[in-house]
Order: sequence, then C-alpha cells, then structure tokens
Amino acid sequence: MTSTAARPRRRARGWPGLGARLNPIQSWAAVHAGRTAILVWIAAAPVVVLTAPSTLLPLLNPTHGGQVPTALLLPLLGAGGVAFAVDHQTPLQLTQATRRVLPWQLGWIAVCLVPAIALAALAAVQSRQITVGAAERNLLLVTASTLAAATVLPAGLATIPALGYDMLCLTFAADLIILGLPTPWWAVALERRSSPAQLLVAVALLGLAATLHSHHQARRAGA
Amino acid sequence: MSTADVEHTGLQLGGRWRRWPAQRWLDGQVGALAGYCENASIGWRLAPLALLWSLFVDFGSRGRPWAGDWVMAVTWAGLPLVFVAVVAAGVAAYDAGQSQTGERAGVVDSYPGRAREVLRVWVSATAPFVLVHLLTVASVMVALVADGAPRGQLVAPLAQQLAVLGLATALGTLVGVVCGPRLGAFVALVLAAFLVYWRGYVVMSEAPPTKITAATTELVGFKLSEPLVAVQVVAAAVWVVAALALVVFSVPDPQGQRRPRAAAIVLAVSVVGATGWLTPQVTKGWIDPVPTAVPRRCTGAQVQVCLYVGHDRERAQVASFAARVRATAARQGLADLFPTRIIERRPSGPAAGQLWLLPDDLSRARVADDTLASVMLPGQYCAQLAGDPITGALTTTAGAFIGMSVSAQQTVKNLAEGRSSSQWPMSPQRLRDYVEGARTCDLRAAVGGR
Repeated sequence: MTSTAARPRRRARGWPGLGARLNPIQSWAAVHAGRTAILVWIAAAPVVVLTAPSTLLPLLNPTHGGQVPTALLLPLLGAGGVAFAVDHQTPLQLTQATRRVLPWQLGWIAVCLVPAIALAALAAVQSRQITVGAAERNLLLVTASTLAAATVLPAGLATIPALGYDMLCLTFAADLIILGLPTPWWAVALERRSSPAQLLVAVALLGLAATLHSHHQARRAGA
Repeated sequence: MSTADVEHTGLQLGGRWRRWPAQRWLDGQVGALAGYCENASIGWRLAPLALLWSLFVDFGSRGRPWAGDWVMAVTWAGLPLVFVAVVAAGVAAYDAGQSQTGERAGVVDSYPGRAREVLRVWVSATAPFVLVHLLTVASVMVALVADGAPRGQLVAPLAQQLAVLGLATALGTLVGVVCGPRLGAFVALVLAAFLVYWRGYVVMSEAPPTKITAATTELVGFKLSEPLVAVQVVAAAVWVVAALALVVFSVPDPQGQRRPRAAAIVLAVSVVGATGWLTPQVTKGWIDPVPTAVPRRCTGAQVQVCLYVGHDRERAQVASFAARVRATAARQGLADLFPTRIIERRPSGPAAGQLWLLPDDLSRARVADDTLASVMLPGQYCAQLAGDPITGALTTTAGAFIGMSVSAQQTVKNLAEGRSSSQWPMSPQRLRDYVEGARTCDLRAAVGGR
C-alpha cells in the first residue's frame, strides 16, 4: 500500500496552461447526458438522409394530393439530441469556475446546437425542396420549444410540444398552403423558404427559452 | 410486487392512510391496479393536455365537417390519435424505463419480471390515454345527438382506435425497457410517429394493424366492415402480446438495461412480420356500403332534393341554388334543361341531378357553387371521360367536352345569380346543345360537332 504523499502527481490533461480551464469544461460535460445526445445525433443522420426527400400528406384534407416536405419536420430529431445534451444527469458539484451557471449553460447550449444545425442543414440539402434557412428556422423554433418544455418534462419527452406544433401545422395549415392560400402566421414552420425576420424571431425565442432553461437548471444545481 | 406492497406504498406516499369501507372494497386486484395506474404513470400529467388537443382537433376544424354524419364523426375522432398515440408511446417508454431503473422506488420497487407485473406497467401507461380518448368520443357523440344525427356504427371504429393506442403503448413499454427511460422515451416517440403516421393514417386501401380510419370525407351510407376491423384488432393484439412477451422474456445486461432473449426476438419478429404482411392482404376494402342506405327524405316544391339525413344542414343551400337556377332558366325558356330532382350519390337518369359532397364542401360547412352547378348538369359520368387527361388518353372530343363543361358550369352559376343571357359565357342555344348532348353522352353533339 502506498501513501498518498508518495504518489507522483498526475499532470492535468490537455494542453499546457489550459488544464485549469478544461477541467471545469470536462466536469460540466460529465454531468450532462452527452453520450445519449451523441447517440441520438448519430442515429438521426441516416434517418435524415433516408427520409428527407420524402413528403407528408396534410392530415385534415389528404385528398388534396399536395404534400409537405418531411425535411421541414426533421429538425425535431436534432432538437431531441439538444434536450439530452443540456439535461443535468447528476447534481452539479460546482467548481469556482462554474459558479456563474447561466453563462456556462448558455454557452453549453450554443455548443450543443452545432450538431443539430448540421443535421438540419443535411436535411435541407438532401431534400432539395426547402432552403437551408427554412430548416434552420424550424430547428431554432423546435429547440426553443423543447428547452422550455424540458423545465417541466423529462428530457426524453421534452420534444412533445414541438411534435404537437408540427402536428398542428400538418392538421390545420398544410392543406391551405397546398391550395395556394396564404400561410397562417402560426404555421410558419411549413414555409419552404425563410426570411431574415423569421430567423431573427426564432433566434429571440430560442434565447428566451435557453435563459428560462438555464435559470431552471441553475436553481436545480443550487447555484 | 404484491398487492400489499402497493397499498403499503400508498400509505407511505399519501401520509395518513385511513381505511374507509369503500377503500376496503377496493382491496384486491382491482384496487391495486387502480392505485398503480394512478401512481405509476407520468401520463396523468399529460392527460389534460391530450384531452384539450383531442377536443381542439375534433371541434376546432373548419366548420365541423362531420356534423350529422355519425360514422364520419366517430372515425374522425381517431384523428387526434395521430398525435396522442405517439405521446402515449413516449410516456409508456418513460414509465417502463423508470420502473426498471428503480427511479419509481416508491411505486415500483424493482423491475417487474413477471408477466402480470409487465401487464400492469402497460395498463398503467395506457389508462390515461384510453380515458382521454373515451372522453373525446363521448363528447363527439353528445354533439351528434344534439345534431339529431341518426345512430350509426360505434364499436368497430372505437375498437380500431383503442387497438392502435394499446399497440403504441406496448411498443413504448418495450423500447423503454430496452433503452431506459430517457433515451427510450425519445426513441418511442419517433418510432410511434412513423408507425402511426406512415403505417396508420396515410395507408388508404388496406388496414394494417396500425390503421386509424380518421375519415375526412363523408361516410353517410357507409360503415367500417366489422369482420375486417376484427381482423385488424386481432392482429394489433398479437403485436401487443409480442411486444410485452419480449419484455417478459428479457435478461439484464451489464449496463443495467434489459435485453430480450434471442429466441424471443426471433419468435416475435416472425409473428409480427407474418401478421404485418397478412393483415393488409386480408383487409383490403375495409369500408362497406350500407345496403339500405338510399336517401329517402326528399323535400322541395320546384326542385325535389333528396339527401341523407346526415347532410340535412346542406339541404337548404342545395334547394335554394336549384330553385334559383330553374327560375331564371324558365324566363329564358330553358327550364327543361335542368333536373327536377337532385338525389345524393345515386345516378338516376337525365331528369335527376346527382350530388356528391366533396371534402371541401363539408370542411367549409358550405357547399361550393362549383359542386352545385355540376349537379345541375349531366354528363360527368360518361364512359368517354374515364381516361386521364394528363397522359393524353382522352380523345380530342372528350377534351373539348371537359373544356366546355367549365363554361357550362359558369353559365349555371350565372343563372343562379339571376343574370341575363348577355352576361353568360355560352349562348342559350349553345347551352341547350351541350346539355342535350351530355344527357345521352353524345359528346360530339355536346361540343357542337367538333
């Protein structure tokens, strides 16, 4: 049995000088369901590639024959991954560097959005029916809804409101759009192109939801 | 986990536990299951929202197109399930996963290995959504009774809807046990969305085990075929048993999850594959016409309008349009061109118009003028028009006839508005030639010899 004093001190992992910064990041990452999120994103990629070119029938009036690009709904998969990635699995033992939870949490959400953004872009490119902007707008909207829902629902079920919104659009708005009537303001997720204003509003909604979620997580963490 | 354990848990969770006579009556299996259902599922938290969603989809649609049409209304009530069944699958996965990981230690002290306990997990996840669906169907039925709709089929559509709900939660239970509560809930949501939408709602010509007949067009004079729905429900039940059997015959793995035994997987996949292939073959054409359903109620003096009772609300509009057309036509000496009877969905010779209400007519709660104008004109069902105009299979004459029928419909609409012949797209003589040719399906004569 060797004494603690005799054991050589292990060097901090990472690049020299960055260890003190990386350790809080590692500890922060460790308490989130990162592996589950990565699994979701990896599994979602082939699903996106296979289903993005397909279309969906409107629910209320399927006889119209016109169809809705599935790619508009696929950002839901990326948002599901984000819900896992930002979910605290265990109570945080906060280090000095992570005392200010809110900036950390917002930064973490921004990092976790990257794979989801890539998946949404993949859906748009693969589909060829919608613009990348439209896919990203929908991603921002469903992620905002998912983050807000994650404050009251488990991460696995947090996509339910976003799914409900997509179903609402598919039920009550899809056939109107196919008939050439104007898109109702609330069914913006069915538009195949996006405008800068839509993207701006979606970013603002996501910011609001992310702040709400971060406050909730910070309260849970006791910070 | 025994009945006594469940009751003991209730004692712990609920604080003071006073045993009233009614509670003593609930001792035993029924009471235990009720207590379990109440405590074991997160679904009860989502049930109010699911109910709101269901009522919104059923009653908030444009013009309540199912009003008065019993079979359409009861099948339409299955439309919210396209979302609710998906949520139920996610909830079942979360419940089953938590029952396994011990996160529900207060309610389920360990993973339920026995078949009865697996059934309890499934029943407790399904119960909130079954209740939601029954309340939805009940409210639709109250509205139908208030409409004065004649009583129609109930058991077959309801059995179909509940079968799909049970199937979704069985799938969720299986996924939750295999993947755990967090990932399992999400995976179950995605899988159930695929199953219910692509293999349940969109499939039109057959009834696989996941089929939901959410009719968005009129079903007066039709019903679901009971034997074929029974086949579908039995197939769904087989799938439920297969999913739950996989849960029962599973073993724990080193990661703390459970994995179904290989033999059970092979058996379940074989059974599910066989029923999944066979059921659509057997259930083709699962909507039957009701043999005696002829619209018997005819009203009107100038023009008799015979509609099914379920479409009484369209009667006044149809009668008014037909009367206006005939009144204007009489002033032009063209009254003999238009029918004196309009019969819903029954071809009945040149003296009668045939009305077929379209989904749009029902959705807007107002029959489109184009539909009404086409009722007043003969010829839509001539054999020469059966080709596809896009592929060019129609003859030149038939194509010219279709083009002229648009002008004829516009003329009829002008007649209904009381406009003089100078404002019509066709002259009175041209209209006469068209109608007389169309009555005998002599399309060449109808288009003026072209």
